Amino acid sequence: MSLETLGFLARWAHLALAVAVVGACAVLLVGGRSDRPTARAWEDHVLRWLRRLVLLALASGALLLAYQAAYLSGRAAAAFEGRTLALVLFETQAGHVWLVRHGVLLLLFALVSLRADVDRPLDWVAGRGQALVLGAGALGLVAAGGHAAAVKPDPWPAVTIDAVHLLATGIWVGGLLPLALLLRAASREEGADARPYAVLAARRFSRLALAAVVALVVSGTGNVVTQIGSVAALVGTPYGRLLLAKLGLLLPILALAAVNRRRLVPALSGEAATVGRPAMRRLARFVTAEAMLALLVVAIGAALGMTPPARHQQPDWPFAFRLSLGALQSAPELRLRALIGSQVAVVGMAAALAALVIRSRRGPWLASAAVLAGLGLGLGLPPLAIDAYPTTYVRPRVPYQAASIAQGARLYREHCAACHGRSGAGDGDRAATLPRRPPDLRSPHTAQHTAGDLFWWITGGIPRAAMPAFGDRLGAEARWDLVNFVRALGADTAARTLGPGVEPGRPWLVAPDFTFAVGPTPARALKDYRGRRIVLLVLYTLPDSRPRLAQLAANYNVLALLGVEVVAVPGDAAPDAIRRLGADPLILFPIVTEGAREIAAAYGLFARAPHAEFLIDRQGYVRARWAPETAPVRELNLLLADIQELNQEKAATPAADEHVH
Amino acid sequence: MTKRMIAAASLALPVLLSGVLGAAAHAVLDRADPRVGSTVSTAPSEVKLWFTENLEPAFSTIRVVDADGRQVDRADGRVDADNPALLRITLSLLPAGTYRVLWRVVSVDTHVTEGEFTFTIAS
Repeated sequence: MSLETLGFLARWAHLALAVAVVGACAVLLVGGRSDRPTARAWEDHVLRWLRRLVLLALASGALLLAYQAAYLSGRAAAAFEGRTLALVLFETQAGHVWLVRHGVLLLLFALVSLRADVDRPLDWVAGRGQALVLGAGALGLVAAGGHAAAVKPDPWPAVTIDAVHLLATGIWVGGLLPLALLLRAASREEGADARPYAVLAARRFSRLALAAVVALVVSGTGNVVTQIGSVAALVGTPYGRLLLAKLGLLLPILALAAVNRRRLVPALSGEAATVGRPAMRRLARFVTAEAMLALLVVAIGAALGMTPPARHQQPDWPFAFRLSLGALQSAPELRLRALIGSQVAVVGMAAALAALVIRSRRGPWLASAAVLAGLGLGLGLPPLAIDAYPTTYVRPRVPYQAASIAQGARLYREHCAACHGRSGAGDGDRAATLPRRPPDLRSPHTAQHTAGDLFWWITGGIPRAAMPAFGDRLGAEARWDLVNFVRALGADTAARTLGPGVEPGRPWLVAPDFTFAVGPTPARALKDYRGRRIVLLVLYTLPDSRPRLAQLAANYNVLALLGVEVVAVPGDAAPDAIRRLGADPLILFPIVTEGAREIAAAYGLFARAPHAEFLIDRQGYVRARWAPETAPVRELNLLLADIQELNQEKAATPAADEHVH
Repeated sequence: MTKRMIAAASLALPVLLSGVLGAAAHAVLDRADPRVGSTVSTAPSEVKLWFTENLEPAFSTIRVVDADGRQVDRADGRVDADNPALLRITLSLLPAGTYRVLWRVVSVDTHVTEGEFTFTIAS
């Protein structure tokens, strides 16, 4: 058995035991104190089990710690090395959480082992309540050592949501088996004395379980949003697929729970011999089955904890199509069909909701609502479908950076321009010999495809259009460089519509990130200014740009005061750029000496002029562009007004590189 | 579902699940300085790796080796005190050539990621 399987089994056992501990404490408290002999016997039985469960939880926790030491250090032998165990316990966050949780479990063990005098009702409630609080602490804190704890920048909301999820599981799932024990005992001939107690406990537990299920759904949705975040990640990653399996397993459990709640629990108080006791026996069986299925759900939960969260994984899209509203832009004749279909589907869903509210004739209502919704979706969705590939939702492995775009431009000239044309217009020398003309890479149509789509085509080619595959000729990084270049080409056309003034609240053109250095100083990235400063990027050519540089230098203190950094890039990427500028004017803002060639190549796509300026906001979007060929260089007063505009803007848009398609 | 079926399913589950547990990558490399696969003209004095998640310093390691596999870093790899998602190591003065950066990190949710990349110092 592999180390991972062992780790998984330990994790599953530990989680299930912690869940069972909370459930046992909760059910005891829900049932309340009773003088009936059968109920007292059941309580003792549950308490005996509780002690064993806590001991087993401690033991499986120790196993989990040993696994952790072996896994983190990468050596199986480290599982039993004191030094590594100490490192895990005292030097990692998960280790601290482990220490606290197992301390709490030890306290709980001491508490349930004490034969304390709890005959007074208040003492009884206090004793059981303390046990529940300790058990809940040990279970809820699991969240502080899991995926939720790694959420950036602030993990605590995610940890809280996850803790609620764990506790709701504990109360519902963990309570099932002790409840089944009580029902079985009370359904026997000799257990008749505890029957009213069992009926009351089952009813109370049923209400509590319903509340727990609602909490599970809400917190589970929260977990999905933080750890998965997209449909592609849900269907295209191991984590997402595990979650789907978990949800699939939940359906029969919820169906059982619904039958229990609506049919069996109300029947418990019926006439004992014919209705009440049979219902109680059946409820005991159903509740046991529910608990067994739930144990499998907990197993998937344990596996999810060991699987990389979908958000950080590259999704492998399993379908040959995806749905996009963009499909309607290229096929206007389908718009009516999509519109009618969507309206029919909305009517169908409204009818389904109405059927749930109106109680009479629910069956026919629901059936016709389902038919309507199905019909509407069948009519409305197909026009939205466009081709998709396994890599469609893959995030670029090489970030959208100036250096990558410049490298992509070189590769494009070498491998692509012959057919696609130097400018991407599809007018290369060999275009005429192809079965069909290459598309205009600068058109908005290109921007509708994801970076992953482009990567798929470059890698595998498009046989029907005679586009060759580059997967075996160019490395993955080179192909991503090409993708970045093609995206910059698409942005190039869009950039031409960018006005000289800042349009308030409308960031859309992502500024390619770049790294630069000034002389021997450490390299800086555009990204480093994110959230801090506005960047005025100046591509200049001497001697024509000298007056403008002098003007900016003279007003640099004002600009800096307004939160602006000026970054000047020599268009010719001369390594001695600073010396060439001379002593006058005195320039205090960075003149890029390293990285200039790449910046000029990438931003040159957005403005082909000897002198160009770009105003980049704090979220990393280009908000204004000036090049003398389109608009004269921004007069300083207007520039200051633009900057004021950006300063007053609230940062509602997500940071640029998260925004890429 | 009979109890036997449930028992069979619960035995099969670990086997089914163990297949997905081998997947790598929790704290994913976000960017590096020098850039992944880049060619730089001046020898860097330090290698910096930014990850997508905060790291556990006790179990996060980094090494830099030359083309012959000889270690060229100063063995002072550490997680930055101010930015727990930044792993850095200083280098001795390097001649032109191609260098490999090998890293193995543990994110705060206790998952191990390994990886490597090269950068080249142009002559």
